Amino acid sequence: MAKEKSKSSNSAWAKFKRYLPLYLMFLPGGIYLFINNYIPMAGIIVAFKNYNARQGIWKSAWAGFKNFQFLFATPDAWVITRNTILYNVAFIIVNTLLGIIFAIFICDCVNEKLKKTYQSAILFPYLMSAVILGYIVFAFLSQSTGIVNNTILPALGLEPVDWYSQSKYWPFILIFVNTWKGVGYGTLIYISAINGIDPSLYEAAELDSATKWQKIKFITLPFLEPTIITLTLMSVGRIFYSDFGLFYQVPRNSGLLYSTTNVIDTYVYRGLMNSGNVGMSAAAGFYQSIVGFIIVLSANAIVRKFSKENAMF
Amino acid sequence: MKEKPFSAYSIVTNIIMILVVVMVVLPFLLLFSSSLTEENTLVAYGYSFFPRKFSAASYGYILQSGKLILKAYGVSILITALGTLLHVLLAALMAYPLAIKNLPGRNILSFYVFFTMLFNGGIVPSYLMWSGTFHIKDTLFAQLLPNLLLSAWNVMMIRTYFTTSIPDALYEAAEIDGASQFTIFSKIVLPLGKPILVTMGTFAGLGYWNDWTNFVEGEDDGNYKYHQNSGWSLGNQFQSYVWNNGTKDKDYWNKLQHHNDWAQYSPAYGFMWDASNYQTQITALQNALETYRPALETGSVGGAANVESTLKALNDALYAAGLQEVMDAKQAQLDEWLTNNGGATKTPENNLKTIAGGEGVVKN
Repeated sequence: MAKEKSKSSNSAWAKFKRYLPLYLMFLPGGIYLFINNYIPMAGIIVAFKNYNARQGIWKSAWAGFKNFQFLFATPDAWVITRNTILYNVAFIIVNTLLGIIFAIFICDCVNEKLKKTYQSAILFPYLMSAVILGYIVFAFLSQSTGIVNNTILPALGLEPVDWYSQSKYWPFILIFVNTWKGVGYGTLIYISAINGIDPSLYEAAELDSATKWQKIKFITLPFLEPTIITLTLMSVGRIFYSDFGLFYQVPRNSGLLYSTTNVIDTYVYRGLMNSGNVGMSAAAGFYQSIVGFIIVLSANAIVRKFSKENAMF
Repeated sequence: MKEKPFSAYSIVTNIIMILVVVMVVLPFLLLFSSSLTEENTLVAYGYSFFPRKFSAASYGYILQSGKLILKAYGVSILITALGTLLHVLLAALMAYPLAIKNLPGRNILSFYVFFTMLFNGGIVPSYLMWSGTFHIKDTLFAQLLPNLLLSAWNVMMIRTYFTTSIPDALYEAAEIDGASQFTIFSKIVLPLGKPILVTMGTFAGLGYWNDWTNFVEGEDDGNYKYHQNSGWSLGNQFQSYVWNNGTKDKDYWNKLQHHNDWAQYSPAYGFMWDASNYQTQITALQNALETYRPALETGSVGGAANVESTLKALNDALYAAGLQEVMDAKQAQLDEWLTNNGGATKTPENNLKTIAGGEGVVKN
């Protein structure tokens, strides 16, 4: 009996010894995240406080859920929630699909120089700030000086369009602009995943005279699956957030477009710009995080049910 | 998965990709050609791909501050290189254990990393901690350390790559051969993970290069030498000469001062509206106002015929956002204040006393 016990504790010790180096590797990053991310998280309590700069975060009076009210008790609550979710869903779908397609196309390119060109060009817009992006879109869509109204539409014999006051065009414009700017990110990640696939798999498929589509379907896509799931799960976690620059700078804060361009982030910004209410903006952030958190936990649970390997935790 | 160069598939995909490249590059070309177009031409004729009238004035403007820009570039390059290297190393070290499928506690550690992507305490607590506890303000560390040194997102991407692209058999073989985990990491994982590490390094580098929130040069209220509240240097009208074309008396300012002193105070002078219980409505009102105000102010509602309907839409939106409620509350507060504070209209004598008293306060 005693021998048994010492053996099991020995094996626990052996197990610990075996994995110790791995925990040590995790440690530096873990400490950094603790300092940089976890300690400041205490600031979240501002969302429940009637923040007063003179009293500071800790001494300000408690406000309960009062700071959260403005997100729900307004006529705009439905519009901003709908816009935020629909845009994010559209972005996730379009960017994933196009990212995979472009990545496969680029990896199939034989000419190394062309390949490099495609790869760098597609990432290029990702480097740009939203302010510059806003100006580029303006150069195209401006009512009087824009290249679309000035050159393209007259050439097609169409009437100029007042882009910045017609809200119906903006879902397409924003999805297009977001894709234009962001598709390179996913493409690059999918390219690196494809590059990690063992080439002998394709050679074997070749010998079996598999078609191009079969190769994509049975080799490439299954290998990309974990990457797709991870990227999507992470995007789903931020589904209540939106790229503030995209929704504020690109429509140039035009009031007539709010019905299709107002999202939670821009609503909060516009509402609190003058009052500078710290508690309410913290409440908005907390609300966005907690909803994303719940959605991502459920999504992760579903993934775990079907393929344990690919779940994030 | 290489293709034969001239198969139908390869021709079609290359054409698509070339179109994509064109779509990506054209807007930049437009931006570049506008940067070389003279400002007035741009306003008159609009944006175009070929400058109508060439001007390099914009670039001259940037180069005016030459030395400063060179120094800024130096700092940026140093920080970016150092930060990217550390970022990739830390992230890879962190991602590797998470990729080992039978590591005890793997899920908890993954969750620990992922959680930081969802919640944050905001800028203020982060600033207080880095500057107060770690004293990195005014040093290069201020640009290196906060936020950019490690991204949970990148760790998760690297982890996914490691789990899928590095076969388990490789680890096991290496372990059987007696290689330590650190050897496996540096000899197998890092070389095999090169594609994702380069990609993540690119994004980390971009993060550092484009960052403007981690402010380095230590300017704060303690050492800031230029103050914009420069009222003291400008004086006011009452101290200046009368700009006289013969229509004004020499003692014009004195008369005006006298006139002002005899002005009557508003009955609501001193009343402060406490809006703290109406923040929800005020936020909604602000958004309603912003929706229509710029269009109304600039006359861009689509013709004079639409002014009335836009005004009505604005009013409707304001009332829907709770305007009546806020007005009622404010009126109630004002009424209460008036009953408590007498609501006596200040007389000119009181005015003069207030002014004298005010000066006394300043002197003390």
